[in-house]
Amino acid sequence: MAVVIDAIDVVKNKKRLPVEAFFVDTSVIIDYLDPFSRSLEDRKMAKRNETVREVVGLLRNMGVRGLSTITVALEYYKHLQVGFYRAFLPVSKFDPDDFKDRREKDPAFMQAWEGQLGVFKKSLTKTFPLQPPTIQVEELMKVFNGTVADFGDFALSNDVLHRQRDMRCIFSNDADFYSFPDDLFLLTTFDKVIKRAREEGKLFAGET
Amino acid sequence: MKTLKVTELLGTPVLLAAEKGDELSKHIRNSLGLLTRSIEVDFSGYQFLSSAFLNHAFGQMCIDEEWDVEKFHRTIKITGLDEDDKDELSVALDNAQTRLRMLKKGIKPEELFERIPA
Repeated sequence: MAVVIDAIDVVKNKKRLPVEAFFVDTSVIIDYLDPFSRSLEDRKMAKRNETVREVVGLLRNMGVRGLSTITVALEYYKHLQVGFYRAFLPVSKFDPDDFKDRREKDPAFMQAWEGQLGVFKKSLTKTFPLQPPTIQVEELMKVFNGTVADFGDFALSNDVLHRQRDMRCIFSNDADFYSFPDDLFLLTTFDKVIKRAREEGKLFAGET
Repeated sequence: MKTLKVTELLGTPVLLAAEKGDELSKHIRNSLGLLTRSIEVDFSGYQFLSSAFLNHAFGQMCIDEEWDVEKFHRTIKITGLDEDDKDELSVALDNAQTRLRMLKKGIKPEELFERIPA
C-alpha cells in the first residue's frame, strides 16, 4: 500500500514533507482549473477547486513543486477538447470532424478555444510543469491487467515510481492509488482514504 | 471612476471561496447605478485566487445581466491581477457566454456536464 499524506493536515500544520515534489493526476488538474466553470452550479466542485488551489498554493510556499506527466496531459487535453466542444455548441455528442472544422473556421469557437489552450499550456509549463517521461513501457504492459486501476493511473504510477525517491508522490483523490506499492506517497484530501490509511498504519505523521 | 479594492472590501488576500466571489459581486452590483456606469475593481495585494471565486464574482454577473465580454470590460475595469489570472478570468467570461447560450436553448448546464467523462 502507498503511504498516505493528508494534504490539509500538512499545509495547515506546515509539516515537512518526505518529498520535494508531487505529480498531479488528471482529476486534480480538472479540480484545479475547473475548465468549464462547473463551480457556478456545483457547490462540491467549487469546494474542490478552493481546496486544491489552497493546497497547491501553500505547498508551493513551502518549496514543494507540483509537476505533471505527458500521460496526464493527454488525458486532460481529451477531457478539455470533448467538454469544450459539447459545452460551446451545446450538444450531447462530440464530433471530432466538426471540432476540427470549427477550430479552423468558426471565429467565436476559435477565440474561446484559444483561451482554453492558453490556460492549458500555462498550467502544464508553469503551475505543473511537464517532466520528461520515465515510463518503462515493457514493464508497464506486462504488469497492467486492468483490475487494480485504469490505464492512465497505472501509467502515471509507473512513471512516478521510476523517479528518484523524493519525487515519488502523486496528488490524487482517487482511492485506486492507495493500492500501489509502499514506495509511493499518495497526497490526498479524500477523507475515506485518509481514515483507512490511519487505521492501517499507512498515514504519514510528519513533523512540524 | 470609482475603485473597489478587493482585499480591503473582503478583508482578506485569500480569494478562494465561491462565497467570497458572491460577496464581491454584490458590492460591484450595489456600486453600479444610473450615475455609475463603470467601475474599477482592483486586486492588488491578493495572495491566492480560485476559478470558483472568479466564476462567482464575474461569470455569474455576465449570466444574470446577459452581458457579452465587451460589455463586461466596458463596465468593469480589472486591475492588479497577474497575467496568468487574467487568462483564467477570460476563460471564466467565455464560459459565462457558453452558459448563456445553453440557458437560452433550455439546456441545464449541470445535466450537460454530468455526462462529460473526467
